[in-house]
Amino acid sequence: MDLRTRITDLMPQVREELAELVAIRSVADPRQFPPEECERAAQWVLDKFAEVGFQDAHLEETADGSKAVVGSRPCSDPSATTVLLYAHYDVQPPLDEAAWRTPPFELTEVDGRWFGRGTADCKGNIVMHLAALRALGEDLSVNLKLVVEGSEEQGTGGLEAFVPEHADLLRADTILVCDTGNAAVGRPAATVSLRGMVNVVVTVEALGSELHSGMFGGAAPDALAALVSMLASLRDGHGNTTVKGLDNSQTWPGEAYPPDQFRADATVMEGVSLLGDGSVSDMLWARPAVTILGIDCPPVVGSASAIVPRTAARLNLRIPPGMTPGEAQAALVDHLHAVAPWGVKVEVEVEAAGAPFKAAVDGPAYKAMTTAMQEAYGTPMTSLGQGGSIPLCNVFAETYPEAELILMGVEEPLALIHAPNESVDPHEIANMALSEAIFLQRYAGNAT
Amino acid sequence: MTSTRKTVDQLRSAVQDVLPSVRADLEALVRIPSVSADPARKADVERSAEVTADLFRAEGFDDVRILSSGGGAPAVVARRPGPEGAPTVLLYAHHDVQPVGRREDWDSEPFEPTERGDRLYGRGAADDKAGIAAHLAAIRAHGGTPPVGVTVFVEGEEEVGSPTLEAFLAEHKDLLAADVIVIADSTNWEIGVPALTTTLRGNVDVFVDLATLDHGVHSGMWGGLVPDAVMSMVRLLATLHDDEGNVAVEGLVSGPAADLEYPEQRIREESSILDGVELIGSGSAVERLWTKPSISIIGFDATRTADASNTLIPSVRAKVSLRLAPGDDATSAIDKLVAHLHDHAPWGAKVTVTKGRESGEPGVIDASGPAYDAARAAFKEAWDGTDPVDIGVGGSIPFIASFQKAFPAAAVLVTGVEDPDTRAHGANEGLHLAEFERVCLAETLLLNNL
Repeated sequence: MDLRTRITDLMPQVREELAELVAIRSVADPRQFPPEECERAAQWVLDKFAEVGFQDAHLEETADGSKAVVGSRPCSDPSATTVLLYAHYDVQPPLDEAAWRTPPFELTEVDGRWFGRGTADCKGNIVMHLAALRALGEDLSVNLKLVVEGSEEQGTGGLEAFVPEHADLLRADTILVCDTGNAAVGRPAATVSLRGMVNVVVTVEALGSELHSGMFGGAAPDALAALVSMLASLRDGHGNTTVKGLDNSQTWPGEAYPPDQFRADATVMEGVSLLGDGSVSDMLWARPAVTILGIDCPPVVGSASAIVPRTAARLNLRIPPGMTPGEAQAALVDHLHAVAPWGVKVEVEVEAAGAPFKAAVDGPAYKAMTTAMQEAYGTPMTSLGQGGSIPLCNVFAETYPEAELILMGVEEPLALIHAPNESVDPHEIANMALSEAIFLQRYAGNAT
Repeated sequence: MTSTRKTVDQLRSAVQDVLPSVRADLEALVRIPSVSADPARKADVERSAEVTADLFRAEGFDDVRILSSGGGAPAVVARRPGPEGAPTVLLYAHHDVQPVGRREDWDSEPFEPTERGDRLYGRGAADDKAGIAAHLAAIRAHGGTPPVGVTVFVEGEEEVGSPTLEAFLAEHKDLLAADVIVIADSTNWEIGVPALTTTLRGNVDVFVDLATLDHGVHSGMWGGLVPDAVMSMVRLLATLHDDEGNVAVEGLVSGPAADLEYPEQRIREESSILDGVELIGSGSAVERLWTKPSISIIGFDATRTADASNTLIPSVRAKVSLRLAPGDDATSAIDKLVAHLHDHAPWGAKVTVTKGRESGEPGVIDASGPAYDAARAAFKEAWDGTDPVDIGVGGSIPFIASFQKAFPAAAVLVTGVEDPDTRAHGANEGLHLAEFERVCLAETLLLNNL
């Protein structure tokens, strides 16, 4: 029996298992859901992977208190190549429960899709791993390692702290970060680019104290007007980010993001334009983007007729691969100083910085995955970017500089991850499990 | 006129005698947080009206009333007729005050009058409870019976743009009728140089609401392509000024200003501009301050930087204040501002502009005639021989136009209790006590001269 048939035969079990896992309300926030839910989910994952050969599967507590399922499954050849399988068992909260058309924690099939919180992000990827391993059975000549974390959606960094401290435990030649997905149903993809970011707080000071806007308005410089003009210079009329010295003309070589799909995904209001001169993918994945996150100034209610003497804004600059946070930060700081009008005093404090991530696409694992997806889907694998960062990818890349990272998974735009009515297409689970199984066979063959 | 010298000396000494009690009354008024813009302070505004009324009752005024029109804030009207044939003088001030703003910017409790150096600090210590105190001092120095008829009119909603004043003046026209109107709510030119204010800018304000998204979304996932409301608002507000800092709204009136030099160094000291920071705009300083429009963004509802997360903010609100040059018209100017804001909305952002409560016409006053002669003589005397200068004021006193309209035959004198470093409306508002003595003396002399 070939792999595809085996996986097809496994799908009833996949559905049953995914239903069990979705029913566990594993939101890793004790203010919203009891911590026992996450413990049950962790135990469920541990038991299931123990069944498929991860005999040492166990729970590791991480710095944020969440528990990661860690295990290994060596093959007969200790010198064989090692693949680390990643996923997470915690989920986003359901958010607006009234907006769900089906119960969020009950797997429900509607028009061929399986609805429920976590069906795609990321419990669908857990059952994908299980299906691939069951289909392969004992027929595998790579060493496997496993980490399924329990606080990915919280951003509390449990596993990010754990990895460097336990580098040997998880060390691998290739890491399958299964928490992203495809360009569309039936259009396989690897995510090869994540933007980095720099956050700064810019403070502008013009006056020693507030002044009556009538008495002095027109001659006394207004710190808020100065800040507004500085911030306005960070974008041009088309909405391109125009930080001097930062290239805003790179283009995205991979899959295009259809603008209509994007408008729907981002809830952009009717009549409001999309920004920038590039395509959606260019603007999101290949070019810098600056956002004003907050401004300190008098609120509208209670505002007096006074000129604001000092003000501050917090800015978030997303940077594509090809720029370092250091360069981007220096360019932003220089830009803000250079455009400050009227001699106002400007200070810029750098708060946080994260590097962009770019996956290597010329290694043996990436090649094997390209072939595997082509075989499983009958259509070529494409490449996607992601506008946000996944800090764990940078941690993996720093801890295991030789390792290849492949970002993939069962999600696609219709999955509405993080939103109400999350769902997964079961064909995606089947085809991605098949891709993973073919990859594990093929990669072992290539590597030996 | 041969007895003037003697009278002046007597009045000088009478003013000295009443100043301590006037100061105590001023402090009692400052302790009442009569912030008219704050609905929670409504009872305090009522109390400040009552305390003000009591002060004039205590001077022997029989006809003291607390009145309001059309649901407006309480105003005090206190009348004392003069001798047969004497003119009647209306003495105006207001008993409400501006909000405090950020408490941490004050060096002492805003509503606890505190003397430091030359000044008495507190919200309203100058603007305009010192106006009430100056009227009180002039009446008290005359033993409660000045040689003219006096009507004191102290309103309670000046700081919110006197919304019901016109109705009030119409309703109580007979009560308030006067030959001379003294409005003690402006400023002197500098410490030691008195001034009469003869032009005023108008003031209108608008609320700008802008939305681009239904709800906040992650800045990483969507930033670069999805316009956020804060950047859209910033781009919009940035169009209100040119690079030099001049107002860039088309069609607003500008005019020439008096030939008065306002040395840059003095503007710097008075306005607390930091070293190295430039003045904005083009034209002479008094033009920029008195006879050209100016725009300030006075409020902006955005997440505070400390609470800001990596989110594209879906909607935001700002409050914009526009000062109008003398000769402009509030209705047409606000329409031009609204049109500018709609026309410059970037990226299809949904912009809604709501007109605010401020709608003050700019003013031009005829500064000639016997009342002005009497006032100039009184000022010169009180400032030891220094002639008053005619100034413009950048701030608006919208009700001046209302008074001009209601009493077209009356002479309107706009006098000051403030000086350029009073910081009315700002933190650490402070009354210059030595100047305040001169203000009290000048008004005492004025009542005598008319």
